Amino acid sequence: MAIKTKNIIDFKSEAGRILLTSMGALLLLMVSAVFLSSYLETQLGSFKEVVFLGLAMVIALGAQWFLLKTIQSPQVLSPEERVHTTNEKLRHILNSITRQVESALGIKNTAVGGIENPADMLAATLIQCVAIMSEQVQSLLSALQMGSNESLEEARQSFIPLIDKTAETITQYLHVSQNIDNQLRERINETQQLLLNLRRELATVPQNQQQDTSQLFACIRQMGDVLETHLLIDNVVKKQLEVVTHDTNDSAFTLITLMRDLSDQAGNLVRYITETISKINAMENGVDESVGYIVRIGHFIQDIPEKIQRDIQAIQSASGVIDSLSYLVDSIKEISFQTDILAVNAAIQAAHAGDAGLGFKIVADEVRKLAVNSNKAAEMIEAGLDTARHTIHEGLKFKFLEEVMQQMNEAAQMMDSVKKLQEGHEDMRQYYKTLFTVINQSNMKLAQDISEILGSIQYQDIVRQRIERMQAAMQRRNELLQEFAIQLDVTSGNNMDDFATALNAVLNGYLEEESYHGNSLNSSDDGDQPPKFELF
Amino acid sequence: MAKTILLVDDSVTMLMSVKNNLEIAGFKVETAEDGVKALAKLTAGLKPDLIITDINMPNMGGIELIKKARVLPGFRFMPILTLTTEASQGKRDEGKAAGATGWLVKPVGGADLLKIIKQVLPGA
Repeated sequence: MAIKTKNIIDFKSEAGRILLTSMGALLLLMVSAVFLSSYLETQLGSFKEVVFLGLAMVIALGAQWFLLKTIQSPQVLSPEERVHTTNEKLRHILNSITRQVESALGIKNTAVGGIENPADMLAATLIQCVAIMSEQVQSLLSALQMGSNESLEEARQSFIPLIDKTAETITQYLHVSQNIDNQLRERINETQQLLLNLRRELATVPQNQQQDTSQLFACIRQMGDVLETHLLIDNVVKKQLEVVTHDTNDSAFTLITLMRDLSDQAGNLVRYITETISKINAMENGVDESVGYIVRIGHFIQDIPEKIQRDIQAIQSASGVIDSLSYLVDSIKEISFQTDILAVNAAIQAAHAGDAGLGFKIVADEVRKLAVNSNKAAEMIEAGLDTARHTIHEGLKFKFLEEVMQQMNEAAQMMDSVKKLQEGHEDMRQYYKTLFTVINQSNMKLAQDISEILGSIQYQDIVRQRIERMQAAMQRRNELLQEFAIQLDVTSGNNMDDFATALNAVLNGYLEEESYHGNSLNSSDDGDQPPKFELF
Repeated sequence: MAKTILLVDDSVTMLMSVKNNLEIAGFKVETAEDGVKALAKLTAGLKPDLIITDINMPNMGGIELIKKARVLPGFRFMPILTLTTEASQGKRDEGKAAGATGWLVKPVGGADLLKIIKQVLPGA
């Protein structure tokens, strides 16, 4: 509604009164000057005109100044216009508050075309971050289960930027929370200032016009009630934002600490496994060497029976030859015996022949000597063969003993090798045992850390729910404030008793709903709260 | 054989967090985003050893889910834990009356959760 313009010099108005008074004062001074001229002439002499002119100039300038000030001063308004102007100001401020609170809380403004809710946006980012982190944790676990050093290191490497990303997201989250808090504080200060201004303005209304402004008084009182409740809501929201900030901060700190610890653990595990792999390689070389010994000994032992068999065959063959030679000796002996008998018979026949047989007797004697010598030779051969046979048998016996001794030595060597191998295997077994103990401990620590990280992530849900409840309360409050602003415009402050009550109901509803949920700030010092975990 | 737990929560973060913890501990985990979906799984033949449910969920909340699950054949004595931000005694009493076995207020760390599960699932 346009403000009606008044005439500049309106004698009913305050400015008119001031101008009239000033002009009266000037006239009075001029009349006084005329009457006082003889007195001034006596006192000042020739300076009379100068002093009078100066006084007149001062009075004229003063009157001019009053006149100008009155013209430039704000237009004087009627009580209805004053109420309307105040309402306009209030509506403007309320709209401003509403917009700024909406902007601060990130409530989607469909009229503007959809501003993204920063809390939702950050919650989505956090969820996304948590999802990626969960995948990374899963891949870390898979890598641990697979026992692959490369995959573990790869998982760990991809884990590190994620920690930074989470920290960054949580910092943004904290920043937005802080921003909302600051803006709410500003709104509280603005509303307080508004109340003060309104009261000051009321105080400037002249007493005789206060009856006309009773409607304005009532409106201001209602406005005061509404704003007081508004302040209460803002204070409650501020406290809840502190809780949210506290929870988010704690959760972020725990998360980052645990994730760094997790990364360190994974790093230690990777280093340990790398060292272990090189040691295992060295041990495997030792075991391979021992296995080589055993394989050679095995071949040797495999060959032993064959060699012995060959030797025995050779000896048996030689023994057969000696036996066949024994038949020959017997034949020689037989021939020698028959030759001897033949020689004896020949000697007998030579004796019967007398002198004629003397020559034959000599031959017979020689034949007999030959037979005896043949027999002796046969016996010598037999003795030699016996000696040979004996030597072969004894040699065979000795050879076997030697082979057995050899076998014993080889067996002893094999035992040493086996012992070495056993020691190698025992070392390796112990080493693996230690390795698996360490890996197991690291895995348990990792699993514990992962479990705690996953527990801390639950704060995201708690914070989300708290912000959602806060947003719902703010939405209800904003709707009421908008309706309040419309009512101010339509009724100029009439029929607005219910707004303070309605706002109070919003506040009480929010407080009641909030009391049903755990409060991390109060939980430590409020002994009356039910336990966190309870089995019925 | 691994015991099966049905986890019901409308928060993706919660499902992920608790599911991972339980799987690391060796449980088989089934999930549902609200009471309606959980009940559909139960009526379709899923027979978990334990149900862990949120209270405030869209479509069907935890209290209603517990009430409806309790009347299903074979679910009368099954342990059902709640995992919620609701901490008031009134809500607890409501949960107890509906047939909940225990009341857990978020957040619950991995070690604490396993300790409580061992109490309601002997031998787990």
